[in-house]
Amino acid sequence: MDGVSPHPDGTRTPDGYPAETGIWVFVLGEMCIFSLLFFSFCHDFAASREPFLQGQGTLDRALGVGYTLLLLIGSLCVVVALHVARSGASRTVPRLYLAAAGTGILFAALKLMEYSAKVPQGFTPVSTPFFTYYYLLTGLHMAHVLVGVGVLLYLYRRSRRAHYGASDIKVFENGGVVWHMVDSLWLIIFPLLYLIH
Amino acid sequence: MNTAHLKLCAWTGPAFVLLFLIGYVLILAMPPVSPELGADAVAQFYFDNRTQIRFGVIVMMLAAMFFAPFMAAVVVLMSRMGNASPALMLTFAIVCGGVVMGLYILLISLAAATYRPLDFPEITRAFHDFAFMLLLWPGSIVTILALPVAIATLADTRTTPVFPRWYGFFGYWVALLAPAGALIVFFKSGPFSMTGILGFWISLGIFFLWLAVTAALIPGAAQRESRQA
Repeated sequence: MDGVSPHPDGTRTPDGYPAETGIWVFVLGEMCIFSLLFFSFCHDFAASREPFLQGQGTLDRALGVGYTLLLLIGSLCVVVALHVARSGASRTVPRLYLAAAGTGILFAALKLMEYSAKVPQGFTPVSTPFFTYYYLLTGLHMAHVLVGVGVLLYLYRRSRRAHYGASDIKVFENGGVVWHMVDSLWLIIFPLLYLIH
Repeated sequence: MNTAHLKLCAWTGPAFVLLFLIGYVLILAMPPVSPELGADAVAQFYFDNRTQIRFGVIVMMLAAMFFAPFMAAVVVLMSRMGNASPALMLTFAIVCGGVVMGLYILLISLAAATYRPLDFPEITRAFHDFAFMLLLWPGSIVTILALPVAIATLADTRTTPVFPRWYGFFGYWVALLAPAGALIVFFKSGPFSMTGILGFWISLGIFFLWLAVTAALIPGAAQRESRQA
């Protein structure tokens, strides 16, 4: 069995990395698929720079920075929650997971507002290649955010227990890995769509 | 319990994947003919390559008979898991029945496209479009195929589970990304069309990868079960 039994101090598996081996298969798979899409975007961007830059010009960079900060705050909550949980059950842990889930929900709400502002201006998924990528990358990412919020809400429920066993810590680690992946994907999508020249 | 038949069914997995792949290579659809082309060009493609495509479709049609026993082996293995869940097994089995039907309809549609391609080019192209829509577009059926097995795999918390735990996380990944082909209805060219990186390579690649990984795991799992039986 791959490192499921945690180290006595409850922090690391004997093989020295956090979370379950299997979850990294999931993360690696996600990274591969998104990398393919990123390459495809860069390829098309390079092939027709002008229309892509034009599309980029219509995006609100401040909003992009806002999304990024929101997700980073969420990730910070998840990191602190795990850190606190490792030294025993506490009411801070569920609060932090709830706060992290809140950042995710806020992210999705803002994104939907951005979409609903774009569509009446004529920027739809089929209007230009740039906007096809824009809706695809952000939409696919938002699907991941929603799944991630579901994971965080599960962690919230689970962290309300009076005592955390080794398996609880393992679940917190797994959930944390999923959320950090959602966050790090955005950290690539943001510069690609909003910033690069 | 008769584990000899389970082992037999388990080996139909690799047989299905291998034969289906050979058939698929023969129909020259990696990626399929561009939907951007006019009906005449598509019809001409089917006319020029009709013999090879017909052979390919026949190989895939023969491969398709292995699909049901392949999936049956998965269901039986799910029943042998720790915390075995009848609800998940039934969900999986129902979806498999649907996939079998879809598979045959897809193959018949391709066969029809090669039957008299030049008589009515628009109809040939419609059969072509229909076949590849059926293959690439309904990704949610792949989601609901991979998800029950993934959930059941992760619920199997014994020291020697039927499937390794990474396969469960792999299944979640497949389930999440499988509907990526949904966008092909919007596009005739580019990365999201049925010839593009997302519309074709990722959406079909993920489905095929799930089939291949599942097929690679079940003979060994069936072997272990028969030793325990």
